[in-house]
Amino acid sequence: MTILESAVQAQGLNLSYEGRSALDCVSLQVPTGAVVGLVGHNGAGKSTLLRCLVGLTLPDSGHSELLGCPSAQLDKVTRGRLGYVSQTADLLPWLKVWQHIEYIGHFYPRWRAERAHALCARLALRESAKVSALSVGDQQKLALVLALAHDPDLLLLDEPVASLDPLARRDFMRLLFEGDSARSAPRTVLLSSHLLTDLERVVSHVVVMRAGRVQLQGEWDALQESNGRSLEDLFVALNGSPA
Amino acid sequence: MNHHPTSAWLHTTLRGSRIGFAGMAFMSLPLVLLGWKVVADALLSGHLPTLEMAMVAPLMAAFCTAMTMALLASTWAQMRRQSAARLLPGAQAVMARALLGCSAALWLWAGLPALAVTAAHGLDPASSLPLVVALVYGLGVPVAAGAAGAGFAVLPMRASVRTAVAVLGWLPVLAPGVLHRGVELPAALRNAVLLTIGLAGLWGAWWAFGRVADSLTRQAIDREDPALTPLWRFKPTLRGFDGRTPMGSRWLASPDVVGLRATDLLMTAVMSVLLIVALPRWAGTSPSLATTFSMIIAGTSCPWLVGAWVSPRWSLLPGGLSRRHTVWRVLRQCLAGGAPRTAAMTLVYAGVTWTATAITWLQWLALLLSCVAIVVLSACLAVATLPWCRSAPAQAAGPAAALILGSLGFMGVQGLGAAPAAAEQWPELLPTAGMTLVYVAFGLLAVAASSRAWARYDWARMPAQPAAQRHLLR
Repeated sequence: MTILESAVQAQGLNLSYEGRSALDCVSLQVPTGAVVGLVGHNGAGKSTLLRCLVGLTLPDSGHSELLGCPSAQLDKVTRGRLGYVSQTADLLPWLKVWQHIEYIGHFYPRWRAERAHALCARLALRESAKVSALSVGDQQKLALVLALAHDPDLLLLDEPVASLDPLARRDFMRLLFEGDSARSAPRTVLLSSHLLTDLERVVSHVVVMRAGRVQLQGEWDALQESNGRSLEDLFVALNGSPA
Repeated sequence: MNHHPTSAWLHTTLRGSRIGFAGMAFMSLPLVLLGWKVVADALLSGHLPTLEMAMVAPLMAAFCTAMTMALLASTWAQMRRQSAARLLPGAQAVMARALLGCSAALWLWAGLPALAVTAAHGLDPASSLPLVVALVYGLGVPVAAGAAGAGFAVLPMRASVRTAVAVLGWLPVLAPGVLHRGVELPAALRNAVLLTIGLAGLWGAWWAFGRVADSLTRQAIDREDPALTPLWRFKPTLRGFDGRTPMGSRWLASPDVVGLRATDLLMTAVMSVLLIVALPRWAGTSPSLATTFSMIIAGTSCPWLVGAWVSPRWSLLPGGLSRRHTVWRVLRQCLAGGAPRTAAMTLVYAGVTWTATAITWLQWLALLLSCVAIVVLSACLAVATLPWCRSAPAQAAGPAAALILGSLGFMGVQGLGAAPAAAEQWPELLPTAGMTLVYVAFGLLAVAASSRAWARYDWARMPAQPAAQRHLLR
């Protein structure tokens, strides 16, 4: 497998809902192995961008690719290398946790059941519980387990830690960088969050969105060096109020 | 848990709609058994099905397959909302295989008996219906109806087209009467018409099912039609109620009891015309005309079949929900809200029935009474069973079962009164009035029995009906 220079590429993505622009000419390039923090106001277009990148929403115009494959027609191999967690957990409520893990696992050639169970134990997720009986935070944990258990090369996470307690959040941030040491390519992560202090500890790149546009993007170290500010301060300076 | 992805997909998809599919199977069981009985008679004793039966069987099968396929498609639509599932490797192929398998099973359940009946008639050397025509017609009509039902539940279409499809969906119900006493066509022309219908049906099914499968298995599913079935528009979040909503009704969200809408009027007008055309031909062919029509009327005008729903948030508001006597307030609101709509539709249909047939005023009164009984019973059971039903299909199943069993009860009573009815009309009205009282009393008792459960009910566990959600999110 050749290692691509960019794990995620987007060119001129435009999307409007009922006359309102949700994405306005968004272009993005995420280098392989980068951990990108996607920040912005509520309704800035972060979730829409992530959904367009994974092909769940089709843009009006523009083109995007994940791991070299067009987003709108992800092939089987690319899907097998992808992990995605949406803002709402999108689970099957009538299954139990272990059934859900087993069910999703059938589809992935690289699925590692023991890793899934280990992740459940680490995140204190009861496998015998029914999904519909889980708290919102636990449902989010399950979605994360399902996205991580096949050791994906690319992770796209839409506010994955919003419902997690501080300990689970800390564990989750560590999990992002764990995986198969024998992997051929470093894992690329693109995650949106409003928890900027958590984010700035792990990100290598930052993308700030506002009103459907990319307001700022760049390497976090360079931005920090030139501004000398925390991510929250930078965001406030750009937008005038906290995220 | 099955380990094969396709059957695992089937299992997990259908699991959420067990009650719905069981209900559909229950409703179509008489038709299926009748079909196989006709075929068995033809094989064992040489009693071939009549031409009318051969033509009507596919139409009735079409009605069943259309309903089951609509349910299947809605279930699938819910399933495909899982964004994680749509991104699974090979998910599209797995979903397409599972959808095809499941659809084929449903078609076989309802369509195969109809095909066998038409084929049995076509096999008779003395029959004027050639075997090829019988097979094409017997296969094409249910298959096309199934694809149309699935398309109705899934594909975006204009509101006018949707209404037209909904109205045309009733045609199979009326067709037996038209065909039984319709105009006799020359055999060659009739065969040509049936062959054309069958071929058009097969082509239409292939086209429509392709679109449904593509829509259901596509990676991106956004840009939904706002007129689409509300099943997949269900959202777990609530935005509260409109400030203009009267205080007294804030705690009850059952939007379809709100009155007569333009689409209801259009549906009523079209159905009335169809009834005027069909009734004179149908009269005398049905074992119980009044029962059949009371079922149709109650089924089309029972707004509370969508269920009631109480927001947990509203119980915290001043002047909002009070737990004392809640169940009676809900029932009153259901009946009061639905009364204009139900009464208007019932009167129009009953009026049309009176005009188009030669029934006496006593029979007409019995017809109205049976409608009232079924409407009240289904409303009572919808409200009474709510605290025990933890899912939307379970909530719908209670009143739907009441509707079916209630109608069957009337059928039995009127069947008993059929012989004396020829000489004296009272026996037909009296049992109906008695049954009406029994039904209403039973419904009220059920509501009374549920009042304790209502008072203790944890509102947060009440499943919101999609229609109520749609109303709230407007």
